[in-house]
Amino acid sequence: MFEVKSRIIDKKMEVELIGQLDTGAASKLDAEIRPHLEIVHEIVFDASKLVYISSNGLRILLSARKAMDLVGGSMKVINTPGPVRSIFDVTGFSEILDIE
Amino acid sequence: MIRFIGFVLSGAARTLVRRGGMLPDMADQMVWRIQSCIAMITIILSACVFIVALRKTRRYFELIPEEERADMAALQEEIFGSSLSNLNGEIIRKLLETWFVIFVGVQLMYEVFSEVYRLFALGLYDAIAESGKLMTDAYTSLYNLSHSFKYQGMLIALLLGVIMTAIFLDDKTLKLVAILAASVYLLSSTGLEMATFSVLGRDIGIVWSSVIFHVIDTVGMICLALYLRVRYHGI
Repeated sequence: MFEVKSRIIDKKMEVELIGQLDTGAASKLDAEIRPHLEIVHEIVFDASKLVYISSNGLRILLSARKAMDLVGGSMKVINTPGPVRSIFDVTGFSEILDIE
Repeated sequence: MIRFIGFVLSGAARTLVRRGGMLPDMADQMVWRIQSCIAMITIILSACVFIVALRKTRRYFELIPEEERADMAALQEEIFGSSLSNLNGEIIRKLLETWFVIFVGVQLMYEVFSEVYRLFALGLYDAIAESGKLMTDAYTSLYNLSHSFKYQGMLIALLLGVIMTAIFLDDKTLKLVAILAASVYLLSSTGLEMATFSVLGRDIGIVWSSVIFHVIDTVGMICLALYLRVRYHGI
């Protein structure tokens, strides 16, 4: 079960990730953020309620990061819980994404 | 790093606790006991580091479901390209277990061989001293020649570990470094004389094969760890 909530203030997008971001749920996140990638300059993902992130979920975060790089913006993941943080670490993505 | 700190502490014990006299440091019982205690603590701490790392690796396996691992690997390959090691998690865990055995085994062997060699060197010293006059040159020469035997098995174990890692990773640099290290050790064991000099009235002898082994065993292993960490994501 995955839920995503987002809001945009000026050019900053805040996205709350809730539950299990598995392969099936990744399209839901993609649909939520993709339409806004060209208008925002900063994306903050709040992962405090995230339980798991799949390769497809990581793919979306990476594409968001790429989009922000193109406009000179920034992207970060905050409040990352231990098990999710471990996934970023073990896959090596914590070295290229801003994870807090 | 633990081993490196252990050697620094051992060196400090030699300098601070030694009670003087003409006998070599290894004849000083107090220094020997302190060094043995430091060595045991070092071995236990090293073993703990490996045990924690192995447990961590097992935990990492549980993080990603089996059916998702191939997709995750494909994504890593796509993003990291050639900087990604060609080993999967299971092989990395086995490699870690092998290094556990090599590293802790080498340290244990070092302690056992050090004690055996200490008894040999002291016996040799007594035998030469009893011959009427203390033949310092003869003792130095025999000490230098025999000293490298103490390290051979351990050095081979360490270098085999490096070569095996290099083969797994298909890394030419590591293979070359291992061959170079073995060559330098062979050269030092067979061709270099023991260097002796005096510092603050104290005679110090440097056996090059010993220095090279300890450099490989400490600084070399730190460099290997850093190299693997920087060069290969996931290791």
